[in-house]
Amino acid sequence: MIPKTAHVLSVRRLTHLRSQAGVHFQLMVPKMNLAPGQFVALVGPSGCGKSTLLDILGLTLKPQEIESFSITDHTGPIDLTALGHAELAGVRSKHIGYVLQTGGLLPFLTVRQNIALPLRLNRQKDLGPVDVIAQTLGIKEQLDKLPSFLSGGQRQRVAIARALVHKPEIVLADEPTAAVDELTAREIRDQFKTLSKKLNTTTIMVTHDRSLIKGQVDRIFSFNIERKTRKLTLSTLQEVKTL
Amino acid sequence: MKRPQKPTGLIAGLAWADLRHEWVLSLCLCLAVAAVVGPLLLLFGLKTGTIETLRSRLLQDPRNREIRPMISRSFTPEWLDKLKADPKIAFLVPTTRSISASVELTSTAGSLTLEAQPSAQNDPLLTQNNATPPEENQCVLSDEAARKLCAKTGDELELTVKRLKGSSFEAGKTRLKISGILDPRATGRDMVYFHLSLLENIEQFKDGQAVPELNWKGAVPLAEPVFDGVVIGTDTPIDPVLKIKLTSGTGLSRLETLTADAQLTRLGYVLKNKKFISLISTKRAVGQDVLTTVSNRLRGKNALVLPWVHPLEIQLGEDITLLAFALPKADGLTVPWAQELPMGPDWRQIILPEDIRLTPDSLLTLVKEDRINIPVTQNNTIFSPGQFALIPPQLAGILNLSLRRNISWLPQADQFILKRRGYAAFRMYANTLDDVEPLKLQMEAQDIPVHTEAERIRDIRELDKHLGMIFWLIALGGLLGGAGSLMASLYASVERKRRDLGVLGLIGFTRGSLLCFPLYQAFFLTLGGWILALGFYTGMAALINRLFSSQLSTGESLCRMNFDHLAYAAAGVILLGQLAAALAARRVISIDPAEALRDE
Repeated sequence: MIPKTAHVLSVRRLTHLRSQAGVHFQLMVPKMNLAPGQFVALVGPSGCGKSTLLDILGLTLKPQEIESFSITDHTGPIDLTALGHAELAGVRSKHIGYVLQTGGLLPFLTVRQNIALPLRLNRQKDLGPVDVIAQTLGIKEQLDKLPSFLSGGQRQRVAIARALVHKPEIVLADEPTAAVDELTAREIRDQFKTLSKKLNTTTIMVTHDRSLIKGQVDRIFSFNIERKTRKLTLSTLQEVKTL
Repeated sequence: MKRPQKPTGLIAGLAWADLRHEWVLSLCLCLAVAAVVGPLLLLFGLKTGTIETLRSRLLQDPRNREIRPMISRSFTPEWLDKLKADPKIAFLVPTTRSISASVELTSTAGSLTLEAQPSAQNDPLLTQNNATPPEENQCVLSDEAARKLCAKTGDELELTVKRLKGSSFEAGKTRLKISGILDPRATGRDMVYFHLSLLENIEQFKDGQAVPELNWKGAVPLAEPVFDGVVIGTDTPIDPVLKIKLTSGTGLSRLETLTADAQLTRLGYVLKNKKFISLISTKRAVGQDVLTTVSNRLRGKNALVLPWVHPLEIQLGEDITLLAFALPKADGLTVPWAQELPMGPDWRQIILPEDIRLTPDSLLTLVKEDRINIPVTQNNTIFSPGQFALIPPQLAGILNLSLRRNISWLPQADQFILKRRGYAAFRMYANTLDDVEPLKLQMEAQDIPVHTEAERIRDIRELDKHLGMIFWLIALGGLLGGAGSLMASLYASVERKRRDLGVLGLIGFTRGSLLCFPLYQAFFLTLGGWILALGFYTGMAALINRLFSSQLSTGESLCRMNFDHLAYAAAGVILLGQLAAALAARRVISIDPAEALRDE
C-alpha cells in the first residue's frame, strides 16, 4: 500500500548487499523523501555507495530489500517495487531523466535528434520543446550539429536538455560537471538548477566537488560509513545540513 | 502501470541513422554481402538461362515431341481415333505404307523425287515452321525441296505417281498448289507433305487400283459377298463320310438338319422339292468359291446348294426394324430375282411383309453397324411369308461383309467398294515434352516400339538436376561464408555500441525494442547488398547475353532470372541476414542500462 504523499520520490528501508572476493558492502537507506522541484546533492567518497544508489534510483538495479519505493506523478504514486523490466523502462522513459558525466549523447544523432529522443520515445509529436530548451541552455546554434563537433560544456548542456525536455519528475545527474572547467561547471550548475526549478523537476546530483554545491542545493545527502567487521562495511545514507 | 508501446519505427530510424553515420563501414558491409550474392545470382542466372534456352529449344522444336512407331502394322481407324483422344497427344495423323512414300514433283525448273508424308490441320511440324497444312489439292515443301524446285508458296507443281505394270510404268498425274514452305530447321531432306486423302490415293494407285476422283485408271476393289454357311437340299440324308467331305478344307463345320418349321425360322423360306434340308455353317465368313467347292463335292447327288447368311437385323427408313434373310433362286421357291445378278440396282431389292410399304429410295442400314446406308427397292408383287424381310443373297452377303470389313457404296457406279483396313503407321506429337516419356511407355506396353527424343529430353533434365545440385552446393558455401561475415560484423558492431545501446536502455527503450536494433541494421545492410548484387547481376547478365547473342534466337538469353527467382533470392538473402543478426540481437539483451552509467 503506497501512502498518499507530497513526495515525488520516496524510498524507505532500502538494504542492498554487494559482495566481492569475500568482502561485503551493505548500503542502507532508512528514508529518502524528495519533494517536487528540489535540487539535491549526493556526496561521498569513492566506494561509499553513490553509484549503487544511483543505479537503484535509476531503476537499473533492483534492491535486495526495500519497504517502499515510489515515484509520484500527477496521477499518483507508482509502486516501483513490483514492476518488471518493460514497465521499469516505461517509468524511466516518462518520469526520469539522466545526465551522465560526459553527456551520454548518441554520436550518430544530431543535437536536435538527441534532445528530441525522449519526446519521440514518449510518442509526443510536438517537438517544439526542443527549440525552447535549447534556447534556454544557449545551444540553439548547435542543434543541427553532431555531438562530436561540440565542446565538453556544450555536450553537458545538450545532455541536460535531453534529460529535461520531456519534463520528468526526477533527473539523476552523475557528476555532470566532472569533465568541464570550473567556470563552465558553475554555469552548467546554475542553468541546471534554474531549469529544474522552473520545470518543477527534482534533481539528484552526484558530485565530488563540494565547492560547487555549497549553498546552492536544497538538500544534501551523504553516507555514514562504518566498518562493522573486517569483511563487512556498512554505508548508511543520511541527510546533512551543511558540508 | 501500462506496458510501454514498442517504438518500432524509432528503433528502425536509429538503426538507419547509425548505419548512415558510419557509412564507410556500412558500405563495406553491403559490398561484402554483394560480393557473395552477386556471383551467386550470376551463377543461378546462367544455370536458369542455359537450361531454359535448351528446354525452350526442345519445346519449340516439334520434332522433339514427335513419336513415330518403328514397326509397320495395320492400325485401325478406331484404334487411332481412341489414341487421338488421349489428352497427352497434341496431333496425330495416320500414314500410309512406304510404297506411297516416294513421289515425283515437277516445276518449271525441273523434276525432283521426294519423300511424301501425310499432314492435317494443326500439324505442329508445319504450323510451327511457318507453313499452312495442305488441303486435298495442295502440298507443303521442305526448304531444301523448294530450293531444288525453285518453288515458292502459291506456285503450282505437277505430281507424278508411277507404278510398274508388267514391264512398263503407268503414271498418275495431278496438279498441286504449294500451301507453304517449311523453315529450314524442320528438316534438311527433300520432303513433301500432302493431305492424308491424297497420300491414300497415291497408295491406292501404287497398289494397282483406280482413283476415280483423280482420273487415275486401275482396278476397282469391289466388295464380294460373304456367307455364313451353305444350305444343302438332298434326297438322302448326309452321312458322316459325306459330312467330312463337305467340311474338309471348306471352313464349314457345323451341320444341322432342318425341319420345315426350322427352315422358316433359320432360312426365311421352306424348300419343298427336297426331302432332306441341311445347313452347314461356319463362324468365319466364306466366299462364293466355297459354294462352288461344295457343289462340286455333291456332284451326281442331285443336290441343291444355296448360300446362307445369318439373319441380319436391319433398319428401313427411320422406324422399321426387322430381320432379313437371304433368299436364293431355287426350284420350288418363288423368287423375283435371277440367280446371277450383276452388282447394281438388282442387288438392292427387298421383299417385305404385305403390311409394310416403303417409300421410294428408302435407306437400308444394319442395326449393329450403321456405316453402310443404301437405298432399296421394294418388290410389290411378292410378299414375305412372315414378319421378316427377304433380300438377294448378294446383298445379304455384302451386308454380312460390312460387319467384318469397312466397305462403302459408291452411288455413281452403284458399286460396293472395299475400304482400307487400317494404316501402316502414324505421325504423332505429344502435347508437352513431359508427355513424351509416358506416351512412349504407353506405346511400348502395347508392343509398339516407338522412336522419340525421350533420351535427349532426359539428358537435359539430368543436366538440369546436376547443375542444380552443383549450384546449390556453391550457393550454400557462399551463403554460409556471407552469413558468417555478416554475423561477425554485426556482433562486433553491437560490441562497439554497447555504451550507446546502454544509453538507449537508460533513456527508456525496452530490451525487446533494442533487440530489433541489429535486426534492422542487418535488414538494411542485406537490402543494400542485395541492390548492389542485383546491379552487378543485371550488368553482367546483359554483357553475357550480348557476347553470346549470335548463338541465341530472339527472346532467348543465356543468363536469365525471372521475377519470382529474384524475389525468392531477395527473401532468402534477407532471411539469412536476420539469422546472422540473431546472435548479435541476443548479445543486445545482455546489455544492462547501468553499463551506460558505469562507462561514464
